[in-house]
Amino acid sequence: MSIQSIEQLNETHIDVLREIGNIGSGNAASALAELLQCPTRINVPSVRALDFENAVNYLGGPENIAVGLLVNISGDISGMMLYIFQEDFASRMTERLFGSRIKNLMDMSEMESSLISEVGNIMGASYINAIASLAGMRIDVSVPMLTADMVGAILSVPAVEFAKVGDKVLFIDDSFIIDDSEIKSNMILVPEMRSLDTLFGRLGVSV
Amino acid sequence: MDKKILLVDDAAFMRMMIKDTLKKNGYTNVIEAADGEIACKLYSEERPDLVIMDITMPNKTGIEATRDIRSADPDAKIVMCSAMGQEAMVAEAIKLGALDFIVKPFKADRLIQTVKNVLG
Amino acid sequence: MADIVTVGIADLKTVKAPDTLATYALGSCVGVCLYDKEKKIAGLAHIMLPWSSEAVQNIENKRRYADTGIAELIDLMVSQGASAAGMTAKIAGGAKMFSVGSSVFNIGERNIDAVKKVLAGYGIRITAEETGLNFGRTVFFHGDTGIMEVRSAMRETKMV
Repeated sequence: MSIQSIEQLNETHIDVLREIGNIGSGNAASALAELLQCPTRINVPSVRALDFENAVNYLGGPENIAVGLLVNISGDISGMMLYIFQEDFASRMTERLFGSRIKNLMDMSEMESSLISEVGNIMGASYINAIASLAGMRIDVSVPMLTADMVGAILSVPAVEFAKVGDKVLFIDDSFIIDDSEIKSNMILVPEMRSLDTLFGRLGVSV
Repeated sequence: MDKKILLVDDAAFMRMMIKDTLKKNGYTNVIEAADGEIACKLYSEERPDLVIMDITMPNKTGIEATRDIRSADPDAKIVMCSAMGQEAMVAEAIKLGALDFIVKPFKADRLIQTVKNVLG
Repeated sequence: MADIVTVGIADLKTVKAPDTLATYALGSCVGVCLYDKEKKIAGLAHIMLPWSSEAVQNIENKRRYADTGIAELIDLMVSQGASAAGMTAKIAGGAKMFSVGSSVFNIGERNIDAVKKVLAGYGIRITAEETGLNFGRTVFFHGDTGIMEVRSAMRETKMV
């Protein structure tokens, strides 16, 4: 049997993905700590299968303005990874490193947007490297693509991809504690279904 | 200390951060490239003593640029600096002749130690 | 009192004057607004993908696709008394949210192209278009006037 859609994932599968999420988020927290030069802790991330409308509402509603950072994945597994950073998250980054918050998410300076790209790049790599080392794979990532716009419009990009295989998307909720206050980031993972088979196969989980 | 360093990274912010670290440690002769293609061109024009190379970049990846630079100049000294610290990726870079692999983000000391080791 | 009826992604709805249809944050998706001026019947479909024939597996939701979605919208409007021959169309969306060349990211352009071909097939004229480029759009389609109101973040609202 092979997995045709996210809906078919059972508890064991979600559990495996959650564990990958745990390791990935742990790595991402150490990466952030290094980058921001301050202690960063992470709460246990939640990994869920959500449909489009729930994902959009969870991210503040369709017209909420946020930063979207899209990375294509290729190699032993393929798919797409989308980070959504809310204004608070993005501003906390620039505050730590440049001493000022972002004035307008849709009009960031080159330094601001390259910082946010790099944060996404490093956090994304933390997950990808976790999967690669757990499953003994080689996974390549594309140059991250950045946009700031309405959440609904940003999510239409992975939505189109997952519409081909189902109505749900893998949604990872990260909550970091930096300087004693919590900031959240969200990641949407749209794996090619064949890739999930490969991944579970390598990890010895039956599908 | 007038060793010339070519810093290759598509993120302006990362270049700024690395450049600052280098400067604070006396390495002031730093030239920059925003992708692998520019890096190859700049390398042949400027013949830097060391290249610090990101991997995930537009136009030409750091792996491709490393291969091209090393085949044009087998003595080129290249250190990878990327978030993609997977075993397979590190092994490939080393096979292509990269001298070291720094995983992003890194501590300033780690970078400077590597630069010192390579530049002697 | 006029109501605002919301159309979700890959969905379609109709209203009669004086009500208004709304669909939020179109990215690469295309909002197809059909209007029968005589009957003041308005319809809006939120199209996600170009052609139903490209579906990988059985499609439960035909409203996702330009061909099957527009067909269903026309049928629905006709069943409510509109005449297909009297309809005009206004379309919005089909943006390229991330600027990179690969085909996946050109889905907006392919959606616009499919929508235009399908409408042309029905002989429905497009009288206004706010498409392409790289930003999200929210559409309000007013049932009393047939005016399409397009809102974007940091941009002026267009009334077409």
